[in-house]
Amino acid sequence: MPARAVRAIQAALDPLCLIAVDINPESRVKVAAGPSSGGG
Amino acid sequence: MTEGGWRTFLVKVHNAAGVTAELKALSPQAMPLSNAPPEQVNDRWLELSLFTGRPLAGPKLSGLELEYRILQLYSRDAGKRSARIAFNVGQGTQDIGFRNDVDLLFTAAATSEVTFKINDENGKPTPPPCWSRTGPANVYPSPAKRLAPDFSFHPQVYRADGEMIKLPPGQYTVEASRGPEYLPATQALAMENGPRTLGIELKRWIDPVKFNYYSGDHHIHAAGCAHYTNPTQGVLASDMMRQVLGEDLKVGCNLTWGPCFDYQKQFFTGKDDKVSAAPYLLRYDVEVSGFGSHQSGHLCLLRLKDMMYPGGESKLHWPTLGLNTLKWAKRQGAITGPAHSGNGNRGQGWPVAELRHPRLQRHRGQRVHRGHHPRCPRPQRHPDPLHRLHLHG
Repeated sequence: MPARAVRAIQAALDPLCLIAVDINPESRVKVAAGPSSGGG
Repeated sequence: MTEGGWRTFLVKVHNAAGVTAELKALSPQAMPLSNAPPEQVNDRWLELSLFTGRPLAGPKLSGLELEYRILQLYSRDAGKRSARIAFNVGQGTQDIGFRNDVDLLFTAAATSEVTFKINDENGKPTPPPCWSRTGPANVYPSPAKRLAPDFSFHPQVYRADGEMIKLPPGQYTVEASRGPEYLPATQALAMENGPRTLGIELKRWIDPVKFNYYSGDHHIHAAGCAHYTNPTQGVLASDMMRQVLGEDLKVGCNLTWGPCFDYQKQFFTGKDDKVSAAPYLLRYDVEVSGFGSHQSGHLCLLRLKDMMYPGGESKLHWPTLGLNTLKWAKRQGAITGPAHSGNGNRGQGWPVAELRHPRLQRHRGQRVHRGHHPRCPRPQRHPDPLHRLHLHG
């Protein structure tokens, strides 16, 4: 998929996310409130 | 969110490790109400599920550096509620020094009631409940968020004419019936903002009473088995009667047994319980199970006048040889027999009980049902074969 399309999808979906899950290179998970959570 | 309804949310997953394990979501607020400590009932308002159907490939992450997952949340309550939601991709994957959970505040909009107008086969309102459930994909009310009189171990809830459930706006399919003597019926229901009334016409396909056969279940429990023992020690006669009426059982024998024995024993009267309303009868009696069944297997003792074996006030002093228990029960006019004998005792075409005990041959061909007992039956050893027995499901 072209990089521009990926960026467009991210720009559309990211503001709608309730939660952001981050898995680091060592497979450790951390979680944060997303933009649609109203600040958590 | 909406009271009594599901909403979907997006979760962004940045996967720098290329993990392809299952992503799991957990919340202390999403723990089931069944067997919850009483002080946690109010806090367990949430149900959650990660959607894994199409177009997603399943519960496992794709391994791509970025993907989006769909989180489904159900609220039992209306109003503002908070939840702590955690994620992991396997044991021990919490990032040390960071949180793998987040506290979120939700507002759940109040939803409207649908009131049932239920007529029986004669066109009369039914004081006994019928059962109903709604779709499309999910069952409402959510089983995990039910306490008595609604039970978590089956999809239906029982509602009488004039009673209601709450449903958020949406399209539903309502299934209604009243036990095996009735034809199940389905109908569409469109809920909007505002109360609704739904008419249900029950249709009976057979009335065994006309042939002097009465449907009943002489092996039901109000505690243990599939019932919870927390936040209350089982449920009450009124809760069990709702099921009895909803399945059109003329007789329900509510057997007190091992779990919560010392709490449930207070409801035994030796008579039909006061919730009975002819022709629907509910009685408390005893199943020797979880105590006193070490030597002989489980026993159903029905129509007891005195539920307590002499020599104590609880369950630990009962004889472990069932013959003594059976003789004691028979002396007070009880109907007795081994439990779980209807199913699970079959071998080479004949019930095992008949093969082992020739005195039971007279029961050959008799069908014995365990009725609506939700737990799978299992073979039991039988008491002394020379003692005259009835078979019990």
